[in-house]
Amino acid sequence: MELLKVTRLTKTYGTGPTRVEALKDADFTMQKSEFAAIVGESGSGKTTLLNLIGALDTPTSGQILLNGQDIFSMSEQERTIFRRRSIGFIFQSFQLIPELTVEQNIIFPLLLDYQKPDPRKVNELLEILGLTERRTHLPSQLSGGQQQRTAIGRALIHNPMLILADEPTGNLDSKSSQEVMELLTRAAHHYRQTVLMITHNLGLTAYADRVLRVSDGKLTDLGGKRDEKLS
Amino acid sequence: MKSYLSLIPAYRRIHKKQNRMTLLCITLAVFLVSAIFGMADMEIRSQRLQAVKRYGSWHIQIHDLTEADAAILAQRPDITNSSWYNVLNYRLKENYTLGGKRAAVCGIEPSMLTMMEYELTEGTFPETDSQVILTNSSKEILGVSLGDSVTLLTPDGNSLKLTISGFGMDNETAMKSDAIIAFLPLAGFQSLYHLVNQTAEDADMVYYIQFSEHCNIRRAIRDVREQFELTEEQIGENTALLGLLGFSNDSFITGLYLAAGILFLLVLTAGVLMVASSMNSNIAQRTEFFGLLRCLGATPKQIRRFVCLEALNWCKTAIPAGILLSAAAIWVLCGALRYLSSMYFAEMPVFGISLPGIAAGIIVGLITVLLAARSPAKRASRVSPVTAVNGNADMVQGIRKAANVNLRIEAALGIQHALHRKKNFLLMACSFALSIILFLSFYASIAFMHHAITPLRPYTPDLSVVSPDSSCSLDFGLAAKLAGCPGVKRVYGRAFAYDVPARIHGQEQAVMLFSYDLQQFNWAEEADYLLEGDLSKMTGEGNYVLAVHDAGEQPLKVGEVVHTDLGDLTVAGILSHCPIDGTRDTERFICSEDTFRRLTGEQGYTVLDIQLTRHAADEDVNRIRSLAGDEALFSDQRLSNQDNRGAFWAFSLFLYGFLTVIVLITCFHIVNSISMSASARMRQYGAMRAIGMSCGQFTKMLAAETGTYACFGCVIGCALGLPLHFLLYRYLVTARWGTPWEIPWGALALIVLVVLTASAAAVFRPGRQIRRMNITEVIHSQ
Ligand SMILES: Nc1ncnc2c1ncn2[C@@H]1O[C@H](COP(=O)(O)OP(=O)(O)O)[C@@H](O)[C@H]1O
Ligand SMILES: [Mg+2]
Repeated sequence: MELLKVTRLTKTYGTGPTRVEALKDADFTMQKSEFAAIVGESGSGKTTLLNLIGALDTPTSGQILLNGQDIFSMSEQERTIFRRRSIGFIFQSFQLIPELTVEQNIIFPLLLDYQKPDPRKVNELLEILGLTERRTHLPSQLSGGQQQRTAIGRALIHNPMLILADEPTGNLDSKSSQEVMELLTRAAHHYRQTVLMITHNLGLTAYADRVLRVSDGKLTDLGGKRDEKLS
Repeated sequence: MKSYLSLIPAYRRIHKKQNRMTLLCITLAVFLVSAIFGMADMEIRSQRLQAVKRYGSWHIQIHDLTEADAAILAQRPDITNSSWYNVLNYRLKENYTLGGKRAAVCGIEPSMLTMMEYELTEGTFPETDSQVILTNSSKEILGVSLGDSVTLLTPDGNSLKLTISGFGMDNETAMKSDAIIAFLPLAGFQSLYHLVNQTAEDADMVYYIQFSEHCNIRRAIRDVREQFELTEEQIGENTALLGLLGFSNDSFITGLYLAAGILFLLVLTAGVLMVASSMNSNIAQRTEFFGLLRCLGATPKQIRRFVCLEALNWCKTAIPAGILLSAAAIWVLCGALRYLSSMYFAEMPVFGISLPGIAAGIIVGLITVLLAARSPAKRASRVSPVTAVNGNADMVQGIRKAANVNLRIEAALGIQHALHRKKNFLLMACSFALSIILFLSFYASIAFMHHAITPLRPYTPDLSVVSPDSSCSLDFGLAAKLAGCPGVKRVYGRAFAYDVPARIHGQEQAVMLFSYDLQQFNWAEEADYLLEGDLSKMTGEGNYVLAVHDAGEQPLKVGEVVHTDLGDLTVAGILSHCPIDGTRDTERFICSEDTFRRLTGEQGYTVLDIQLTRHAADEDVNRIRSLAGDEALFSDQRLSNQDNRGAFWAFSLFLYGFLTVIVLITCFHIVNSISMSASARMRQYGAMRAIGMSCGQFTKMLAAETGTYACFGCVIGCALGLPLHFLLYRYLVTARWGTPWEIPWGALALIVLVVLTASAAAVFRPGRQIRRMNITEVIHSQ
């Protein structure tokens, strides 16, 4: 089933001499429960693409249908609520809320939606993420890997349609990176989540079902697991 | 770039908006202090000029000093001027004449002219005994000029021929009474004295002294007293001038200075707090920048220096701006004051520059900024280099307690944001509190103004008719006739019995008794002049009187009985104000007209006060004057009332203006603080927005945060502001007029409302900022 459909997506920043075509006519689709990785050099337009899909930014032209809904035809308020319920974000710099504990950070999207978290689900998630012992800790008391695992929990708690991760391991050492990636794939499979992840580390594409490449704003689909081709 | 510190201007160019707020805060702090100091300086200067003009620039006078002692005294280095002085016919009641005009004759030394502000406009000081200086007006009155001779006639008919050696400034009293003042040198004066009194003994002269303004005059006076073993009675002081120089003995004046000191400290605190909190947020917004500097190898000490230098860099523009603003404000205010009341503020400098004001502005600006920079500098220097790398700037600030998410999430987060950093919370709550404290404290000065200058006392008359010999000679018929005149609104009289022998607290003294009619009792009630007791007794039988409050040691109490020669008087109440100014030792008692008549047997009034209608014309006043007859003294207070009213308006303008400025600045500060603390968290807010927090939820979160500050601020503000108001009120009002302190509910409600409104407004701007925020940029800007 087609979950995400991106058509002729273009984004230009600035005008005149500072004009940058960050993304040019990107077209691609994603199936439900797919795990896709985006690779490409720095400055090639990966983040731009991800931000557009996450409705954080508006495109210059083009269309994005998520589960059949055009996300740019919504009002700002509708879009916020849509984002809250349907998309999970994982940032390179974690972006946890320093005043909330691990558990509170994880259930934060539910709280924003005035929902009551299901304690069983929370416990299960903490178990998967290996954070059960840390549930009452504050982000400042965690290692980077633990912080990112918390962020993954936050992206998973409300069963979003799509999880977007922008270099989730960019701030982590290789051991933590591996841990986090394994967790992310395991959790994605467990909850049958669709994940779109940007990565710098070509080794990490091994975790993905599919690899997309962006270079100079142009998107090419490299198809299934082809890490051997890339290296 | 020459050194890492060259980053400051470069950095400043890029982060203009952030810095504008800090700059504005420093400017405002400098402006406030400099304007207050400057205005106070101008006021004291003008008062001093007025006091010098009226009383002279001497500080003390010593009676019965020997010539030898005077010679030693004059050698003291802290004495700038000294002179012997005496005067014949001071009150112009004896028959001394000069060229046929009534005259007073003073014996002086040259320095007395300086001390009395009688500069010579023409000629020189007399060199021989038969030379004289006359007041300028005598040139016209007598038609004389320099070098002419005039004849002085004494009451016994002796005559003395004098040559005019100079002319000096005019003296107001002399001008009013159309008289001449002649200044003789000491020897000339003594020979006149010998002539008049037919003795060979010299007149007892009084020794006038002016101390250097740079010495501690109080201590100098004590020194002189001890050195020459003088008694207290031998020394007279120029009280008005000494008071203005800050060397008063009067506890009320000391209280005034104390109150001014407290208010100044408050403004200083406000300034420091304002600048500190704005710099704090400024630093908080740039944690990563400092992390980066640390990353690149800057030591904590270098960071501290960076922050301090940056702060001083702000001073470069902010201090001159604040001072210029304050100079402009002072000019406008001085102009307004002069315009509103030319009598009270005649000596107000028009385009005066107040050096103490400017100095205070500069010093306070620098101190404030350096003090305020200290803690942010320390904080910046503690930023770990890691923050620059992982971008979790907020983490390092050591959050120890998690939020309570049992509340709605946005409220919980808001409150948590407010409380999580103790220092920041305290700073914010205190700045909210400070606006309340400042307002309440300055509000006390408004009560002071209402007591000190109220031209519009209900009983203030426009015209008065006074019995020439201060007896009860004005009959009731006249009152009725006056009341019938066109243009008259009301007529009310008082009958007086002066110097009534009485015993109070076992002491013999003379008291004053006068009557009030019903109208005057009503006014006392309406205007709330009754401090204690009961007015209803006054209209009934019995010898009930009202006493007037004075700050003496043993004030009278309600129910006390005063034994007088007229009968025993029972005090039924204490008034704070009455139309008669008290002298220190004369108690004033007020009774009803019936009681007065019963006690004294006198019919009629001593004083008839008249209030005119708004449209009363000069003819009406002339008619009233002629009705009053030639016998009675007639006084027209319309002009001076107008001037009083002007003074009142001027003071109101000044104080209320000041209060408004304070309120506006505190509002600005609240809005600014909230906005700054929101900007410092913008990145975190960006993440929250990405995760799906809606704008409405943001506004609620900010409102919860601001509300927390506001609530604590209001509680602290009331807890500190009310006692301070009480203290100042006691110094400024109760000490002098006895009015007891009351909780200023109105003012309190007003300022709390203003603070809450400002808080609500404060939420608005960051709310809008968040709504317009570009989430992607905010998240990824590192
Ligand atoms: N807000 C912006 N304004 C102008 N140019 C931008 C902005 N954001 C990104 N760009 C430019 O768009 C291009 C793509 O950026 P980005 O998507 O962040 O690349 P990547 O994430 O692949 O490193 C870059 O050349 C970058 O300079
Ligand atoms: Mg990127």
